[in-house]
Amino acid sequence: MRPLDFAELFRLSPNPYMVLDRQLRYVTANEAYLRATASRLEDLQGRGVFDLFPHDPNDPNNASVQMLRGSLERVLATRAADVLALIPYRVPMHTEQGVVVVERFWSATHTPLLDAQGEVTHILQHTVDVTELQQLKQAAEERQGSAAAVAMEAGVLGRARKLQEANRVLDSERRHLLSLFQQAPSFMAFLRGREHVFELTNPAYEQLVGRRDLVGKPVRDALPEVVAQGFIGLLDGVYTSGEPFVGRGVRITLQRHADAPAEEAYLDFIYQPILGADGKVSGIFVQGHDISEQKRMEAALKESEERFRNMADHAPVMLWVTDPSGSCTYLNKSWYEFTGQTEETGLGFGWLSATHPEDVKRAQDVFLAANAKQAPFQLEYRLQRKDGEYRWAIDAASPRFSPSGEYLGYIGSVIDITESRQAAEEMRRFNQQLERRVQERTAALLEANKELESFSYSVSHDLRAPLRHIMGFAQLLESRSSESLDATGRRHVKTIADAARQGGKLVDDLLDFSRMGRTELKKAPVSLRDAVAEAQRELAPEAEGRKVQWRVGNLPEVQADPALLRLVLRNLLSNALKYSKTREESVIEVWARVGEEEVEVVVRDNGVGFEMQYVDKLFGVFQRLHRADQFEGTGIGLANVRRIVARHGGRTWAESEVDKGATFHFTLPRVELQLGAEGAPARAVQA
Amino acid sequence: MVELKRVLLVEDSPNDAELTLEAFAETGLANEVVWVRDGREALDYLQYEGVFANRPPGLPAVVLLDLKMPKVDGLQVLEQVKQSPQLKSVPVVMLTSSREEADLARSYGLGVNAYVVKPVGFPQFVQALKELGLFWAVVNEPPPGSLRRSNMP
Repeated sequence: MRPLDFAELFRLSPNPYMVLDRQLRYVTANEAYLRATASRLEDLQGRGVFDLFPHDPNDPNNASVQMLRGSLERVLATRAADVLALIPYRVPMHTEQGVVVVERFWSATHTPLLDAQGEVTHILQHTVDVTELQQLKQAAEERQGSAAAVAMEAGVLGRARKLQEANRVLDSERRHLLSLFQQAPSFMAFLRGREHVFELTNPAYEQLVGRRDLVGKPVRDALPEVVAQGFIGLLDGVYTSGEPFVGRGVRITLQRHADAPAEEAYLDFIYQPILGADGKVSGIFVQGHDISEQKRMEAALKESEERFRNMADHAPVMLWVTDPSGSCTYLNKSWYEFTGQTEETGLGFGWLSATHPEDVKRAQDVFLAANAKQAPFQLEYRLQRKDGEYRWAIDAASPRFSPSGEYLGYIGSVIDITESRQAAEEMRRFNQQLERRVQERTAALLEANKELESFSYSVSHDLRAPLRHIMGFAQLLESRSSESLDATGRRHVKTIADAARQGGKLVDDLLDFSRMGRTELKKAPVSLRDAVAEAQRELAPEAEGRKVQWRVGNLPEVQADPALLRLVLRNLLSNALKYSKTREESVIEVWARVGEEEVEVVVRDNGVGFEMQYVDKLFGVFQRLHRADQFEGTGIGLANVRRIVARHGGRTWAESEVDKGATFHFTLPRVELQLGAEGAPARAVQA
Repeated sequence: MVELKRVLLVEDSPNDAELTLEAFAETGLANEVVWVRDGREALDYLQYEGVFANRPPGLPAVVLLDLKMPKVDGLQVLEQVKQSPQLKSVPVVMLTSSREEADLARSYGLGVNAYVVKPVGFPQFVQALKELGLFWAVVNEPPPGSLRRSNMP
């Protein structure tokens, strides 16, 4: 038995069939279809169905095309068959006059052809030309249900099954519409009848009014608060007139929650009358958007604009705004009050007429150049006050841009700086005065210094001379005339000589001290180790005949005035020797700590020490903590140490306990230090 | 017998002058010391002017010059001596109690031959003078052409 040849079957079928791809282009068509549309297969294949059969070329989006396209798209979307019970569509036909385009009535079924994954690959169209049936029906209606019509109805029965099928499809379509209705972001409701009874509401509507069980209730009962607001009147009007009502930004007050205050909302909505089969209004379709948020934003924007304008108007500086062309579009009250201009004279380029003639060109050039570059600018110019006086003003402006980056012009401020310019001028004069005064003071200081120097000079000369004379003659007396003196006389002579020598030493020390403050520091790298060694050599006579143990640790190189640093060390070591002379063995230690920023030098002895309560006096001039008959000294050594170290930018301090020795510290700012050989042990030298 | 040249002592303080003369005596140097009281007198002596117009001729072996004096001070005397072609060969020693560096620098700037700060102690002063005396009066050759004559009246 020969298997069925489906292609042949398709080709020869008496009903028109054609197949479209997903892009609605012809894939194939059978002979019946080609006959019905007076086409050739090769002219159809690969071309769009609407390009070939537009129904009305002058209206590419005509109702018939929409119906057909809708049906085909539904098939693609739902993957289910779709039926068009009746569709008027113009197609070319073979007639006795040749091929002409004729309007025919069709009934069409669109069946999806699916691939293995269930995706639609093609659509099979089966059409039935029902034009005669339709014409008969119309004729019958005209003759008001004649027998012929009745007879004809029987023929129509053949289509009943088709229509049932169509109803099933319509039902699914309705369900689809309903889901669209439910999910629509705009609120929707359908009110039936004169009483506006809720028949349908979508969630958006329920959310708007804050209630859910609306269906079956008239609006006046369901939403009692809207009655007094006139909405029932509007609905009545639409119902009776059949004319839709469109509301824009309409305010409504809704009692969304029984125990909460009523809330305000703003709505854009339409009341669309729906006509029944009898052509009369059967209900009203309500649809719209809640625009409260937009309203609020608009109000906020308006309020903030007002607030800013208010702020700008009352700002204590002059403010201005220009557009991209440079023309001034806003001036605040301060500007008008200052210049006496009005909007007529001030806006645009009016500011130039209030600018000093000598400054106009410069001001205009600066402004226009900046405007061309859309760059911030600052400008000082003279602006005429309403009393006619020109005042120096500083004008500073920043370009404005829209959120999308479009240049909008400038916003700028103008401040009267006449006073501050005067203040600056005064400041300059004041500074000059100050400068002059400083110079005078400096001169006075120099003068005082000169006097001090000549004082030191004369002290040096005049005070040393009598002391020298006393001593010289006392010594002469001693050497030439001692035999003519008794023992007491000789003792007196010795006392005179000692006193004179002590006086001379005092004068010398004091002069050294005053010179210390005057001489310039000559800093150089100095080896602390060498400086200590040199001081030890110089002090050797004082250590003679005593047991002295020197413990010298690691000492770095420092940056200092070599002569002065040696003087510091000699003073400290000499003190250490002097105040430990009562010990059986003097132990004198010298070492250094190298810190981040400074070098600390420490000198420690095991001598008699001092009381810490007097530590402040230690470094003062002529301050002595010991009696001269115990330890000699002028009290200037440590004052010199402190002064020299301070002039190097360092610090001095000491600590001690009576009879437990003393420790003296001084620091020098650190510059490029190098320790000696790492870990070199401190040397103990027996002197 | 070699005739010793004189030493010119320019000193305004009688005490200092006496001590200097005593010290000279201590040193055992036999040079005659001519004492004048200020810079004006010193210049008169050196240039045979005023009261010294008729003094015995001859330049001193050394001028011991005090720095601070009334009328014409030591630095002015030094300056004139060192600028004069006839006198600039005479050694000048600044004898002063001043230890101010400015004086030291200016003195050397003017061509001083030595500078001695008078020590407070008399023995040290004697020692200093001894060294000076030995150096200037004994070791130094007198400039050529200078006369060796007794200046004692």
